[in-house]
Amino acid sequence: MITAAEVIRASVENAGPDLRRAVQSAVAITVEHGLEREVLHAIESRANRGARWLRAELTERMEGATAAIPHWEGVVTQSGCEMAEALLHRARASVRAGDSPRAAALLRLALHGAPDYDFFLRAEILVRKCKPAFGCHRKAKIALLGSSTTALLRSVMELQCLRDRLEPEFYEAPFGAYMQELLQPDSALTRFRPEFIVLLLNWRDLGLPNVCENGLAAEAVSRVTEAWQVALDRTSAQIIQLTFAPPTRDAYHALSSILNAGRARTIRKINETLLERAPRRVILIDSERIAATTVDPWDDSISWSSAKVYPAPRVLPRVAEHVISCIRSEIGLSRKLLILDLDNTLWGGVVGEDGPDGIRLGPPSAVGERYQELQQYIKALGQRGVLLAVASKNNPEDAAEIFRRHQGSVLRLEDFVSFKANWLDKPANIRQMASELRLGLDSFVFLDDNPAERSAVREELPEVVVPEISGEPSESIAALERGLYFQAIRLTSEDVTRSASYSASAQQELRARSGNLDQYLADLRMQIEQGPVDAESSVRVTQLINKTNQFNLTTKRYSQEEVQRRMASASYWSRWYRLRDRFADHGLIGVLLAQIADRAWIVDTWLMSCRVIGRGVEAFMFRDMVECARRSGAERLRAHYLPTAKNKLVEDLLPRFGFIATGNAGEFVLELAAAVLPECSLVRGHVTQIEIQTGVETL
Amino acid sequence: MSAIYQLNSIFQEVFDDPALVIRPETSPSDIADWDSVAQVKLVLAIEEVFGTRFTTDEVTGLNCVGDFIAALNRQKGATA
Repeated sequence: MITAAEVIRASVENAGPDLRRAVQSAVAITVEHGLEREVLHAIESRANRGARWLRAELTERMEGATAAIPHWEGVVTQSGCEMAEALLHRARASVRAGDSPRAAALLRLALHGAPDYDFFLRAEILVRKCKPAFGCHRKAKIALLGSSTTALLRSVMELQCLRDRLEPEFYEAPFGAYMQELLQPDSALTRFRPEFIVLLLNWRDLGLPNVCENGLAAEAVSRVTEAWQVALDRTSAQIIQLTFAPPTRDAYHALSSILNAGRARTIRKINETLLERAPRRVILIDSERIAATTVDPWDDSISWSSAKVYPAPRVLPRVAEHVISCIRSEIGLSRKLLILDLDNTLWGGVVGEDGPDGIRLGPPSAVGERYQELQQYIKALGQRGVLLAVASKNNPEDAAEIFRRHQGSVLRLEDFVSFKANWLDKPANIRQMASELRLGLDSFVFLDDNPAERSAVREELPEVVVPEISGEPSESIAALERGLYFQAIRLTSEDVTRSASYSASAQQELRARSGNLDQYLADLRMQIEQGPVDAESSVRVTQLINKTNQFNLTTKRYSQEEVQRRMASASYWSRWYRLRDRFADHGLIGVLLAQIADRAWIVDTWLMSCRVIGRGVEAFMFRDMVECARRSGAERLRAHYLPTAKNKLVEDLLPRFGFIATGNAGEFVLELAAAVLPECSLVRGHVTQIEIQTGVETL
Repeated sequence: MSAIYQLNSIFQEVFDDPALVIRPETSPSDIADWDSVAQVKLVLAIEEVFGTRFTTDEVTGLNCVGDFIAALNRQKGATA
């Protein structure tokens, strides 16, 4: 005869797609009837996910959170991916055991997997309790203004910010009072001095009828642009706004989109006009595209009428992900390098075993087509400035052969700035990439279908983002879309040529190790162009100011607004530097800012992109600054070296060029009369050449 | 099966308090963090676990744990 415990066991083993609900209900019945021991006995030797999950839940209740950890560790998806649910339980157990760093690592991993809204509800207070363990590097001041309740969005954003090592500080305007807050000269909002204003408006604010007469759209546009203008005038914040999504329910059905004056069509026109009029400090996020990717409906009338929540609570994680990705992008925290495994990640099969003809990549194989689609997606990432690399356990020749000759391969060897196919462990390879490319590990994303490799990289290199993927190629695209790791809100010409530039840098690295560096540099035939920072260059200058960590004397971060204020000010001298060589146009790679105070110039910012370090460009910059300062009648240069965890490289930059330490920590001065200009022969004019001569000091 | 056992684990999780014990008469005045925002969150979390959606009337009439239980029982009756 079948026992009650066996019925309970069957209920989780045969559960449908909603395993969590089945387990929860099984737990409730078990506990209510005191059947814990019987049920644990019945599932003792079962290895399926439902039984493992139930065992973890019951063990947690009977023996405590710590005893349940090993059981929770076994609760993973079919393809070995971690599940948010199990991670949450493990994190809770770690916090109870006093291990917040472990809990933070588990919660971060769960948050990277784009969990359901439900996870945010259940994890919020726990995450907040281990906030210090998230190791935030930077604060972010974010104001949420809107015509709806912003508290739920705020909670979700807070968790995602911590995941990304951003410590958020929020300001929420009183419900519906965003316009008053903006218009009042000395409001709590202006005193808060936000870096970002998230403007949450929705179609209800537009008050549009089903058929909109002429003029309604223009009126709506001017109301929004006026709000922007006030916000831009009163704060130095970047505005992030969702476009208006047309209501999903409209009695005019198709007519709403077909009629010229239909409401949906009018709303799309409003969005289009807003995009055209958006100044640089306004970012518009496409609501309709987000709505198309969410499982749950965008607009939920019950949440709206009972709590004024819009968009619907269950899509908020997706909305917040987009907002945060724009914030990351704006402050230079977007990831830069995508590292790819090969076998069963970029193609189906194992090239070392199946041979180049045996792998599945491209038609006619259906899965081969999916892998090709993934390669096309990755190729396009590369074309817009994301750097690509390979880390694979393979014979280098087998692996390279596919990118050289395989018909189905969209990616080619030259698409990669680093190609590590060998038998070393992956964390070692990835570390080496970081040093060769001079990029921080915190700008890397690693894609691998093998759970063991993912876990090894996560353990050893926690800065690297390692998304959970199943090996199904379309799932890999989905994972990259979920994370929005490479979000960009502007495209500069440097983005487009970046890959070629890094490939050239990597070549340089190789040659420098094997031969004569000075000769190599001379062979590069470098050309430098410089000019004062202007509107056109200020985008890239801001990007560099916020991203450059290593060759950065002061590591001062400025918003676009702050850069523009300085470049326009008579008390600042500003310069950008652009470098070309025989192999590549590196684009704008250096920035100097100096504050002019009486007879002294104070070096505010001196930085250089890491990909051109070691070429003597800093000598050129120094020379340029000295000459300009002398011409302006200045008598001395003052400078500070502000040490950070990453800029040891420039520790001796100032003394190298003759600056004398004043005795105050990090402070240096150089009398211009005594300044010795370093060796580099200059040709004046708009385009200037430097010849790197043998003996020039390089870093 | 009584819903209160499952409700209790939801409350424990949302307020991250493993010692929390709720009763039908437990209301926002008994739990310090149970404010209006927490109320919305509880409703959403409960909907998720029970696989249900409360109606507008139900959502606005949930004033204590007992109201949640009554609404869930009504839902069960309605879907049986």
